[in-house]
Amino acid sequence: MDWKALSLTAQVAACSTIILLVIGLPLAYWLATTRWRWKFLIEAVVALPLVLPPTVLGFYLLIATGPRSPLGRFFEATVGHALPFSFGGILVGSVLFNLPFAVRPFTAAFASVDRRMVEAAWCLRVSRWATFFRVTLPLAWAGVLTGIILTFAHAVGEFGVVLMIGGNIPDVTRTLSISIYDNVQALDYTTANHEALVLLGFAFSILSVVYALQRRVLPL
Amino acid sequence: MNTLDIAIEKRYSANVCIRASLSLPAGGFSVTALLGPSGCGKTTTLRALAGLEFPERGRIALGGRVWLDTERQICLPPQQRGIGFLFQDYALFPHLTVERNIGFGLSGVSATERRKRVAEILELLQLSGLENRYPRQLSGGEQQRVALARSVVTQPELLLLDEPLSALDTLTREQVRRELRHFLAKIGKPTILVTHDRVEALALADHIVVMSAGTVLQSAPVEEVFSHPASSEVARIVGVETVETGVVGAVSEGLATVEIGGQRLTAVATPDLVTGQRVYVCIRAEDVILQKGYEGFSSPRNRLQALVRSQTREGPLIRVALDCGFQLVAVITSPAVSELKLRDGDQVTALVKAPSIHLVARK
Repeated sequence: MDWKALSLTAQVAACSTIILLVIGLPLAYWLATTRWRWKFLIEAVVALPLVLPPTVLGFYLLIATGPRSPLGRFFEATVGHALPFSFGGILVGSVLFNLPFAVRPFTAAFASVDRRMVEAAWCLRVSRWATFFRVTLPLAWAGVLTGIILTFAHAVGEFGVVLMIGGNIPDVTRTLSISIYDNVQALDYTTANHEALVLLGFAFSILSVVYALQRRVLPL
Repeated sequence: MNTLDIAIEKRYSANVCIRASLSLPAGGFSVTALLGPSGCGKTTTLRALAGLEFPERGRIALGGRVWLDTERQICLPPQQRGIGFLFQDYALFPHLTVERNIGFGLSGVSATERRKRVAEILELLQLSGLENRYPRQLSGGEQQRVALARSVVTQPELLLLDEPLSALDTLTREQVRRELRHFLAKIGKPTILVTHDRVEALALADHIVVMSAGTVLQSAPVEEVFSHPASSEVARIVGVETVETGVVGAVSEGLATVEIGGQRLTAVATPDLVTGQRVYVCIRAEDVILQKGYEGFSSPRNRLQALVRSQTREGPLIRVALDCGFQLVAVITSPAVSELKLRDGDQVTALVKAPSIHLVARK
C-alpha cells in the first residue's frame, strides 16, 4: 500500500472540492437564475468533461500550461516552476475535470428553490445578498451537499487527466489510481488489489450516503 | 389624502399587452380588489407594484414617492418600496418557525424590539401559541395569517395580496373570507388584492377595479360596479346583479329579514349573521320574476311593488331597471316583455325567492 499516494489523493480531492465550492456556487446560482439567451453555451462548456476523454482535456491542459505557451511562461515566471508535473498541475486538472460534478447538482439545487421564497424575502426588505444566505442556501443545502460529496468522490478516482498533466512522480503526482496502474504494470497484484479495494469501499460508502440523503434517511 | 397612481404598459407578445392606468386611494384603511378572469393582467399589475415585474413603460407613485418612472429611469427594488406582499400560496419559509418567519424582515431592529413586535402581531392575528411550529404543521388558514403577519410586521405603507383565498379548501375559504376583512381592518393599511372571484371581491373590498384582456374596464366603489356596470363586458365579468347595503333584522329558523330602502326582504341566513349587522344584499337579475296585475298566491317570499325605470336590450334579453325603494335589476326575454306589455313608468310586482337573495356579511 502506497500511503503517500493515499495522502496525496486525499489532498488533491479536498483542495479541488474547496476550490469548486468557491467557483461552483456563484456559477451555479447564475446558471439557475439568469435568463440570458446564450447560457446554454456555458452549460455545454461546464458539461464537457462528462463526455470528453480525460486524455483530451489533459492534453490541451498540458499544451496550454507548457513552456511554449504564454500562460505557461507567465506561470513559471511568477511561481518559479512549471505547472505540469507538479501538485498545482494535477489540482488544476482535477478542478476542471470535476466542474460538472459540482456545478450540475448545485444548479439543480438552486433551480429547485421556489422563486417566490426569494421574492418574499425581497419584499420583506432583505437584500439580495442576505436572501441568498438566509433563504436560497438553506433551502438548497441538501443538493449542495450532494454536489460536494460527489465532487470529492470523483476527484479521488481521477486518472486520465492526472496522468497526462502530472505524469507519475512518486510523492508529487502519483495518486492512488495511478499507483494501482503502476503496480499492475509491475505485476504486483497484491498491492494493486489492496489499493483498488480501498477505492471501491470508499466509492460505495460515498454513494450510499448520497442516496440516503436524497431519500432523507439521514437526518440532515 | 395619499393616492397611488399607476400607469404601466407591459408587452408579452405581439397581441398580449397589459395597459393598466389607475388612481387608487392610499390614505388610511381601504381595500381595493383587482377583479377579472385569469390572464387579464391583474397579477402582473400587482407584481409591478411590488417591483417584482418590470413594465416596459410607465410610472408608479405613492403619494409623492416615485417607485417607477421609465422615462426618468427610476425603478426602486422591492426592498425600497415599503410594501407588504402576501403570495398566493403564502411562500412561508419552510426551514423557519412561525416566530422566525414573522421576524424575518426585522433584521435591522434589536432582539427585544423584534420579539415585542412579533408577539404583538401574533396576538392581533390570533396566532399566539404557534410561535415554535413550522409552516408544515399549520392549517391553511393559520398559514395565511402567518404570511399576513410576516408581511405587515415591517409596517409597510401598502399591503398587496395575490389571490389571498385561492390556496384554501372550500370550507376554510368561506370562514377565512369572513375573517380576513376584519383582520385587514385591524391592520389598518391601504390594501390591494387580486381575485377572480366576485364574491371574494364583494366580501373584502370597498373599491373594485375590473380588468379584462390587459386593460382596466371600470374602477369604482363596490355597489356601483355591480349595480351600474360601465359596459356589457363588465356586466359579464361581475354578473348582472343588484348589490345594495341592507341591515339585518330578525334571524330565525335559518331565515333572516333584511331592511333595504324601506322594504323588508326575507333571505336564507348565513351562520354568522346577527341582528343589526350591515350586509350586502345581492340579487341576480335572472332570479327576479316580473308580474303585472296578478295578486293571487305565489311561492316566492318577496313580493315587491316596483316602477319600471328603463329597459335595455342585451341580445335576446331585456334588462329592466326597477325602482322598489332601492334599485333592482331584472333580466327577462323579449317575448315576456311583449306579453307583459311592459313600458317605462309601469307599476309591476317583482318576485324574488328567499334562496335567491344572497347576503354577504361585512365586518
